[in-house]
Amino acid sequence: MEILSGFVTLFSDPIAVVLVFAAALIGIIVGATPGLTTAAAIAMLVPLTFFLEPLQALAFLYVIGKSGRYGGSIAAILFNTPGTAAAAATAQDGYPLSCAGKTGKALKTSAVASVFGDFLGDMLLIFGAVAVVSLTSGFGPPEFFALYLAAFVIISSVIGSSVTKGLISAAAGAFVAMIGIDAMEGTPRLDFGHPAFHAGISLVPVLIGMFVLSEIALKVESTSGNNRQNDENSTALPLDNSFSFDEFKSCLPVMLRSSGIGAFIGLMPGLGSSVAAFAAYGAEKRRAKNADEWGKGAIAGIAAPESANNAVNGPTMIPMLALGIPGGTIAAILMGVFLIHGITIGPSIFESSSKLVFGLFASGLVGIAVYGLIGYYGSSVIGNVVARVPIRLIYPYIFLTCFISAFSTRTNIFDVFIMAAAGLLGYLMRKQGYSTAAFIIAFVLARGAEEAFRQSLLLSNEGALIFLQRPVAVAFFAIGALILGSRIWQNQRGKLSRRNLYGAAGGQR
Amino acid sequence: MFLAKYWSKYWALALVVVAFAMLITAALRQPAFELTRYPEKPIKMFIGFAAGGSQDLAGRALAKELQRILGQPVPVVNQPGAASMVSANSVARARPDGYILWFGSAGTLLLKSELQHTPIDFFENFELLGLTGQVVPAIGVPVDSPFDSVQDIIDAAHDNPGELRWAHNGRGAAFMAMGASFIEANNLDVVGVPFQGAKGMRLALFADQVDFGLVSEGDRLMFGEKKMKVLASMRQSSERIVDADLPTLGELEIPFYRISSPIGLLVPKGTPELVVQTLRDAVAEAAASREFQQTMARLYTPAQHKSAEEGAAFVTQLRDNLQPLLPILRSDVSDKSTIAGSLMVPWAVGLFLVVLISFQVFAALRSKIRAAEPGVKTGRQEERGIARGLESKVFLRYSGPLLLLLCGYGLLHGWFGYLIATALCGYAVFALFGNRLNTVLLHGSVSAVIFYIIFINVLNIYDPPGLLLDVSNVFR
Repeated sequence: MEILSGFVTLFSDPIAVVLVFAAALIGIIVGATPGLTTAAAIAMLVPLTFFLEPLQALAFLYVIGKSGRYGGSIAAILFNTPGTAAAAATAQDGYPLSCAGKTGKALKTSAVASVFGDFLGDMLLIFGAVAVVSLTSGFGPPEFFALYLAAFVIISSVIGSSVTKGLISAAAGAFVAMIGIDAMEGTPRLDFGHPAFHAGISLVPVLIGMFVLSEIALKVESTSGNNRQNDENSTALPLDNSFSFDEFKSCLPVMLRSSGIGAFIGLMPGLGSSVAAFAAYGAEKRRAKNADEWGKGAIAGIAAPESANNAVNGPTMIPMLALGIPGGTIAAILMGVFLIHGITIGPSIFESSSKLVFGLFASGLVGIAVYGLIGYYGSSVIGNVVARVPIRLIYPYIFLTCFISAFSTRTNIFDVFIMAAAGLLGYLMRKQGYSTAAFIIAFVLARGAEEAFRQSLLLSNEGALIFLQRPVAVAFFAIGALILGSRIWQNQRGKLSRRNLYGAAGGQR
Repeated sequence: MFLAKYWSKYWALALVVVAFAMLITAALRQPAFELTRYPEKPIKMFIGFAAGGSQDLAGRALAKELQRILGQPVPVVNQPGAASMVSANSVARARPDGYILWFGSAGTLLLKSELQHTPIDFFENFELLGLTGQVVPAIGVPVDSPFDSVQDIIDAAHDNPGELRWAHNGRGAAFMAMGASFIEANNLDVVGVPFQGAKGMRLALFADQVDFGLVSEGDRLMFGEKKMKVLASMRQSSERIVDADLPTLGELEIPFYRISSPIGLLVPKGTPELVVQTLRDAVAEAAASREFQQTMARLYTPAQHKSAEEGAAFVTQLRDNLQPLLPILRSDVSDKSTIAGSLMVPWAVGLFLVVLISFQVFAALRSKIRAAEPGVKTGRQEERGIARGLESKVFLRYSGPLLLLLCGYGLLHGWFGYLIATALCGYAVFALFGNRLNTVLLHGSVSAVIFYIIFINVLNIYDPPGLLLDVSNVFR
């Protein structure tokens, strides 16, 4: 049991233990702050960790990444302003629950589900790291393209009210992602004749614009527009802050399945937690008996995306440790920290630096426990503190944070204008019932998908037939087609009531 | 009495006016820019890649040494985009006072300007402070590959023209140019497949998708021999610098154009001679330090300092070596690019989008026509019409100004710097949310100061000096 020796390594270094506790708290706060992404915060903290020992530095950043993913759900539940694309799935049911006075219940569900998913993901990391890699290491561009395409179709067809609107949102996101220099040919395209577009549209301004700015724009209308409310909702309503054992039992199968989805998606380089959260949300929504309650405040609607979202954490480290291909942004940053501390990444890491690696795994488990406890018992405190600050004070601060977040990632004022444009687009999309989440996910995945597609054609001697020669690719295409077909069929049959459609669209707001 | 009454109502306004007056006077009274001592404030080092990459790590190691030598903080500013050309552009246009440096690949800069991908030029826009090392690629093949030497690849490519696939990292990238030099010099007919960055190329080899590809010289040491075979490093000399077991192409007498990717530190052209000399000495000292050498050795790019003169000669030679390769690196001669061209996917996605939107519009129109049929209540429609009118009014009154305010924020930031822009926009946004005057002024001012301290002072985000009013030096 190397993991036990990992605990020994961790607890023999008191500074590392303190840092793990600090990281759990910092991560929750960063995640709960709308507009400040965990990856951005970690990137900003990397220089500070150069002065630390390798294990201290890695444990600190790794745990921030974990608890930040959980913390994102707090903002999503309380303000409907997810800091990450992944937490947007949690907002679908978390925010309605919060509006109904069940903030504490929603926060506790999310804490339990996050810990559950994160723990399962870490178990996979600890016990299956190298073995699992062989599963995906043979994937080439055709397989990845099929995987991306299936992800696109599944996400856009399950995310919103109508399949057409979901597909439009996703296609728009993919189109915007094409702007800039084509990485394969090195030529600019869709640049409106202006060199400022050559660097492409970066994620952070679009993300903040679509989710945070459009939210502020909608809020400014409701607070100072039609009715001048002094404070928001919740306080007058009956509070239900408990998370009973029965509720846990009913969520258990949901969390198990969703963690499985999350862990599997975490293994795929580049897909990341947003895909996991939405895939799990969609899959569970289709399975659910009370599907018409989803989007209006179903507890399982929080448990599914949260456990999938956090189950991604551990597995994204697997391709990174074993292949040097980070599964996501945070893993990519961690890889840099490994390198600066002189640790060789690759299969040999489990032999050469096994002490450090298992110490890191142990710190991950400790971090999960710490943020779970803070989240479970502290969430109502956090909720109450936040609820006391009036919207008309908090949103201007968020507005000002948006500016510096968009500016700081590339130190570029152009990104602020991009954010404003994304904010306008997001505002209009939400008013009309289009999915901003589908837009963002398509935006993130589009370049990788395009690359995989064009690489496949270059690799092939028979053109597009290459996709049919690869059984794995065919399987992914089939999954995508099946889910799209079943969604259209469902809609045609009118299985989903019209009321439910509007409910789901309203949950987006 | 009278005064006290108004004071209680407008105290915040009075405070704000006084604060602004003091700030502007302080900014205007600053002495004109002059160079007596250098350095006397933090020097910012721009890096064109995100934090955590190998370029970033090397730059931070150098910055740490420069900080020790020069006695001023050297914070790193990450400005990724367009293979580091975005950051090179902003440094080239910065004030040449020696407080803005660019750390990056002179090879990429040269290549990009030779290919006219960027308007800036290594020789025209920059002053070289010194080169710190160079990235040397190696030729790698999948672990199960039948090729055991570079000669095997050359023979196979000659026997099966147009059949072999090789991985590169995008047309016009420095690694791609180095691979192209090998292919051109040996007259190989092979198909290039672009992958994203060094990681992408490595993955393609690991997954056995291509016949050969370019990797870094240290990759065999870093990843072991179970994932891929590294055949030879692309060095002219027979000296095995990084990996003692790896033959060089020069040693094997296989021809290629000598192209590499020298990494160096640059300042904008026009920086005073005294400053340039100080920095050149500092770079030489930093590059020779043990800590920097160790960091670079860990990144498998050994530190090899070249002074400004040697470096300039090196880059000039690099430019000459590049000339015969330029036609291959330009995309217009791409062999198979017609079937997988740059605009193919955007066209397809755009078309898909247009079809879907017309479908949606058609469906909406049809339901409207149905609703207008006799027998269906029309009152609802009127209600909807009124609601829509209200919505657009609300948009013009609240959300529209909010989004415009953000654009204004961007402009103000350019004119006056972060602090003043944040204060002004803070007032506007707090007012937009319907707060009282005192709250607006208080929170606006407080938020500006707090944000300035957190982001600019503590997190060291680069705050460019305002064009109209420069207050960035007031708080030094």
